[in-house]
Formats: sequence, C-alpha cells, structure tokens
Amino acid sequence: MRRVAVVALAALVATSALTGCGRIDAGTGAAPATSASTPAATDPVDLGDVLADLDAAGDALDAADGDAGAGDDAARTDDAP
Amino acid sequence: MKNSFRAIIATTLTSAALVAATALPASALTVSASTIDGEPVTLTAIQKAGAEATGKRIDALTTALTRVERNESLTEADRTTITATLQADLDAMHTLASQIAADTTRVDALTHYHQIFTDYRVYAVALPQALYAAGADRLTGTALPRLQKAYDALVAKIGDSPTDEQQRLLDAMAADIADATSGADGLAAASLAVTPADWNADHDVMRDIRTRLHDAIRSARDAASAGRDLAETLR
Repeated sequence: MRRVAVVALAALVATSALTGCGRIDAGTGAAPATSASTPAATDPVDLGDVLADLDAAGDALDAADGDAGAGDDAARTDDAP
Repeated sequence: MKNSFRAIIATTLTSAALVAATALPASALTVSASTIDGEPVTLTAIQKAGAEATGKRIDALTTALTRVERNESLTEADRTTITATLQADLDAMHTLASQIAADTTRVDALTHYHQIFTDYRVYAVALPQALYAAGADRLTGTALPRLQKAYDALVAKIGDSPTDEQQRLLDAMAADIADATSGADGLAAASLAVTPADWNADHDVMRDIRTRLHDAIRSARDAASAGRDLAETLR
C-alpha cells in the first residue's frame, strides 16, 4: 500500500515538473505545438508609421509655407500713408 | 531790327522749352488735379480713394477670416485672438467706408481716409500677423511633434549600433528639430502682440517674426529630409 502511494506521488511530481517546464500539456498530456520554439522578437517600430509621421509633418510644413507666403504678400502691399 | 531781335529771343526760348520738355520724364510733365504725391486732395477724389482702399481691405479680411476658420492647426486661443482682430478691422472698414462716403468736407474725409491706414494697418500688420501665427501654430502643433515622433521611432529602430551614416543623419535630424523648435517657440504670440502703433513707429517690426518663421520652416524641412534618408537606410 505504501509502495503504491510512493509510486503515485512520484508520478504526480514528474508530471507537474514536465508541465511546469511547458514540455507537456497538463490536460492532454501532449506536447504543445509551440513548446519547442521561443516566441519571435517583434519589431516595435513600424517603418510605415515613421513615414506617415514624416508625410504629416511635410503636409503641415507645406501649409505653414502657404501661410507665411500669404503673410509676405500682404506685408508687401502698400499700406501707406 | 527790334522785331528781328524779338524773333530770335522767341525762337531761342521755344527751343529751350522743347529741349527741357524732351529731357524730363513723362511723369514729371503730368500734373494730376486730384492727387499730390499720391494723396487725394479733393473731396470727390478722397471719397473715391477711400471707397477703393476700404473695399480692398474688406475683401482681404473676409478671405482671411475664412482661411482662419478652416485652419485646423491654430490653437483655440490664437484663433480667438486672430478672429477678433480681423473681425474688428472688417467692421471698422465698413464704418469708415460709410463715413467717407457721407463726409461733406474735404478735412473730414481726409481724416477718415487716413484712419484706414494709420489706425488699422490691415496689410502691414493684421493680415501678416494672423498668417505668421497660423504658420507658427502649424509648426508647433503638427509638424514638430510628428517629426519628434518619427525621430524617436527611428532611434528605437536603429538601436545601439547605428552605422556612421545613420548616426550622422540622426544628429542632423535632432539638431534641425531643436533649431525649428527654438525658432517657433513663442512666435505666434510675438506675432499677435504687434499693433498698428508698433508698425507706425517701426516699419520693420514684422521683419524679425517673418525671418524666424521662414528659418524654422526651413529647419523643420531639413529634419524631415534627414528622417526620410534615415528611413531609406532601414529598407
């Protein structure tokens, strides 16, 4: 009886250890599909976003140039005497 | 003999007058009955010039108000200030136009005519200051934040081991953003603080603001260019 209990406990410890290591699925006992691979490092910076920011800045600068040019045109208009 | 002498003198004087007339520029020979040095002198001329001057300003102010209304980059505080100034000037131009048209003396009409310019300086101050402030707000509100965001992302993407070319471009972009930020800082407020009285005392009062705005735009464009070159190195 004691021997059965020891064997059952050993089996339980072994199962827990393997599950903790992610090497087997605790529910099915099967190895998870991704268990053997480390998650790929994702690039947090999207170059498309960078280009979109540069485009937005460029558009704002075009508009600022338009404002400045219109201001220059007004300032050149004769406002004497 | 006496008649011959007179004839010689008359001929000489006529020739001298013709030579003088030929030598003078056409404008010097034109004497306008309604203006002296471009200033209208008769009541009718003043009223005509007043209607023309107020009409042009009314059109320009109306266009500017529409432009300000459509500008999504203006801060609400600047939009309020600009709109108030332009609207007040617009109202004043309508009032002066009516007053000049109704004036019955040359003195009254000329006083009102001069007020079009000296009291409002629509072209010299009101319109440029509104437009320069709008340009400055586009820099501080949109262009520079987007450039800074792009710069931060590029630094993160390039990481700790940039190539020499990437480091050069990063340094240039950072310096250009700093220059543009410094140039645009407080520019809208400085522009909107100028008054017609300031301009009457110093006709160059808008020059520094104009120069700062153009320089800041140029620096920001250089920063954007460096950013694009950096992005190209990462493709």
